Amino acid sequence: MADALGSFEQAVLLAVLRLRGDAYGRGILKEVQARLERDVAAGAVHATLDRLERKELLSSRLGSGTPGRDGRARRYYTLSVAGVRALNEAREAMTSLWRGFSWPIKARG
Amino acid sequence: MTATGARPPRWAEWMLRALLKPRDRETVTGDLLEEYREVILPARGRARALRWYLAQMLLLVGSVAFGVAIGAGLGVWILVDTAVAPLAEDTPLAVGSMFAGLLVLFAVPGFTARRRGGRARDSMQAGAIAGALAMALFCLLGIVRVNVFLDVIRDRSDWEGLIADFAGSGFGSLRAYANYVYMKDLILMPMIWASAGAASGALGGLLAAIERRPDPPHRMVAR
Repeated sequence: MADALGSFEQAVLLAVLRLRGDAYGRGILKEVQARLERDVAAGAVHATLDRLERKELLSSRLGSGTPGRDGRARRYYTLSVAGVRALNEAREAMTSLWRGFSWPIKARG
Repeated sequence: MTATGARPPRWAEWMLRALLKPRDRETVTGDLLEEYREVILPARGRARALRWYLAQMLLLVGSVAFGVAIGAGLGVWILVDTAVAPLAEDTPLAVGSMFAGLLVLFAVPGFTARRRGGRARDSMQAGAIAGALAMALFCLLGIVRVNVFLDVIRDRSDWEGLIADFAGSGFGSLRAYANYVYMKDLILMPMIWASAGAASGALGGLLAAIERRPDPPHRMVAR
């Protein structure tokens, strides 16, 4: 089994999966912010994308720029086979952790 | 509303481009520019938007680039300072303040490593890398300083000890002896500052963890 994914890494990988062909840095940032319902630093998303690509869980290609970014290229990300496997393992681990509890759990004291 | 045509200050963009890996220069600065124009600047105004941009920069720049930037900045500053006032004394207070400032600075990569989702070990490692690289570069530029300004700085009062040691060293020239002493520093200081940087990085990581600490968990009831 590969290194366990952190929760933020999972959020980024799932954003890439959801966005499909439109998964570039800022799009991923907005998707992660929307799903986590909090402000997320663009720098944190880029650093995570970089780390996931080094772990070969993502691959990337360059796309064309737009006037809104002064024509600077976009880097589009795609999940690799290893990335899909890592997400499935993370989900499986989480399900296993929660087995035996009914949700939502009740607070006591 | 979008701020079409608006952009972060050129110096900030230039600095970020200089610190990013070549493959990320276009794409990452492009992403930040889009966010800056469409969301940050219209919502926060120019001053807070600049603060946002600088914060993103700190998160993006790895500990290697951070250490190189600190070491280069410090080394160039010492070179310029020597060129302007070669005989000015370095007071213990000034030297102490510089090292204290460095210790605080090396907490930054530890802080950002933890904020990126890293663990305590990543924070220590980030601080250690930044500390070692900064000091290596600083010592390297120190050797340049010695070789460029030797004829003047040999008369500094804080060189009296080195001159006295040279007399009994067996070296044929002061330049060769000074290079030998500074080369020893080049090996020793990065090792010392790797340890100091690791401690600062750990502290930075701890601060990031405290800042992000979630509410205390409720006790769970198994059914």
